[in-house]
This record gives sequence, structure tokens and C-alpha cells, in this order.
Amino acid sequence: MIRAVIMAKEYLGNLELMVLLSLMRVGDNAYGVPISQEIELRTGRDVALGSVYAALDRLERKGFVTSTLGDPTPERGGRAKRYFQITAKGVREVRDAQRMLTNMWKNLSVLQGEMV
Amino acid sequence: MTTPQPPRLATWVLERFCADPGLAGDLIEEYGRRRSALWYWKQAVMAVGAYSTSQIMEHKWLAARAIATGYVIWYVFNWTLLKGFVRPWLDPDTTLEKAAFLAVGYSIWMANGWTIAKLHRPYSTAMVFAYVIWSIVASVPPVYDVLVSTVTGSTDASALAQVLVMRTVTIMALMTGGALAAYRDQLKRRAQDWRQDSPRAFAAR
Repeated sequence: MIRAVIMAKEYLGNLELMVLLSLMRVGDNAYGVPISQEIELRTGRDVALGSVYAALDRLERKGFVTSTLGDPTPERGGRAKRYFQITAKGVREVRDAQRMLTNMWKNLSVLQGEMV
Repeated sequence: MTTPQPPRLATWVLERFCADPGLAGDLIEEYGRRRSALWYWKQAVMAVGAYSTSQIMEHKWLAARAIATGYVIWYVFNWTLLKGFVRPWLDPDTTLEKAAFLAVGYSIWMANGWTIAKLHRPYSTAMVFAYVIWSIVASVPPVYDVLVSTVTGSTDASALAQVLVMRTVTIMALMTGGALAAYRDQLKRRAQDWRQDSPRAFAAR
């Protein structure tokens, strides 16, 4: 169990987890803009697009996401969109992280208002 | 309806230092909604920082090699060529000679950035960034010395300003060299892609 928590910490950072969750929420046609907008909407945090892309790059290297290039569009100055999809390995990793974090949160008196 | 144009220099820097095919397009699309040049610059700078830091953390040994490479180049060129050969030969006394000496010096720094980028592909600009961070850290002791002597009154403020300007220009020269090397590589890649997609290549398939 402890080893699994250490592994999760090593493999999935806070931003990476948020990006994966956001990617799952956006679904098809997920690229940088909707992913960062989803994070902003759900967390209230303004996330830089560069940080989102750096996290997506790391996730792709770990095999948690894949990406494909779309067609260039004029409103993007002739640049293509990079679409991201979560892999089965990525979904498993999110599920593991959820289970581990839920276990960590269970019966925490500080969070239940007993101790402040 | 025309799309508002974001600051060109920011896009150029972004595309040289952050070679992600989708990021620049995403920022341009967002710029169309928010229309603030300051926001765009902030995003571009943060993207370059985040991308380079991520690459450096991912390839620590390569970053160490880039720093060592830059240091060797600096040592060889600065001490043997610039101070051992150019300075005695040029003997910079007049303003023109001093300007020529500085031009040679900064060309060497630019060549340094270029060489680091060329030797560390495909992470070229991130590795130049690693050397830039090292240069900034290495600049702290000499700048601190000048700052202390300025505060104590043994030198005047112009000496401090001169050191700061020279160090800043050095960093800019390094980054320009790295960016130009990356730009050339990107142009070559584009030409290669074009050749692969050209009608002649398509007909030959």
C-alpha cells in the first residue's frame, strides 16, 4: 500500500491528475484550450497553457495519453490543433489515484471539523 | 471578420523555445478572445519556462552535458581567442575598438548558444536554457561584489549598471544563438515535410 502511494506520487503529479480528469470530462476533440478552461471552471485556478502542455507532454511520455494533429485553421494563424485522448493505462492510473486519495482522506478528524 | 494579430516577437520566441505544434495555435486562439498583448506575452514566457524546465528535469544528464559543453566553449574562446589573441591585437582603447571587441565577444556567446543547441537536438533550446540558468547563477558572485563595492562607495553606480547590462546582453546573445539554431532546424524540417508531401514525391509513391 505504502509502495503504491509512493509510486502514484512519483508517476502522477497534482497538475497531471487535474489534466487527466479534465481530459476525461472534455472527451472527444480535447485540445489545450478546452482542457485548461475545464480546469479553470472546476477548480477556480487560472492555469497557464504552457503548464498544461508540459503536463500533457509528460503524460504522453508515460503512456497515459496519446495525441494527434488536426488540420490548420485560419483563426489559429494557420496552426493545427493537437488533440489528446486518454489511454486505458491513463484511466487505470486515475482510478488508482482516486482509490489511494480516498483512502488517505478517510476518517481524517481535521477535515471533519473536530479539530481546527 | 479578421483575427487580431498577437505580438509577433512573442510568437517567434514561443515557437523557437517551445517546439510544440499545438501550443502556439492555442495561444493565438485564446488571444482572439482575450485580446491582451500583456496576457499573450505572459503566457508565452510561462510556456517557455514550463516547457524548458520540464525538458531539463526529464533529461538531467543531457542538461549537465550542455552546461559542461558551454563552459568548455566559453573557457577556450574567452581565454585563448578573446583575451589571449583579440585583446592584445586589437588593444581596445578607442570607442570603436571597444565596440569591435564587444562585438567579437558577444558573437562568441551567440556561437556558444548555437553550438549547445546543435549538439543537443531535439532538446536544443531547453538545453540552451539550462546553460542560461547556469550563467545566471554563475553571475551572482561577480555582480554581488560590484553591488557591495557600489554600496560602500568604492565604485560608482555606473559600474554596477555596466555589469548588469553586459550580463543581460550575454544572456540575450546566448538565447539568440540557440533560437537561431532551432529556427534553422525547423526550416529544414519544414522543407523535408514539404518534399515528402510534394506532388512529385506523391507521384513517385
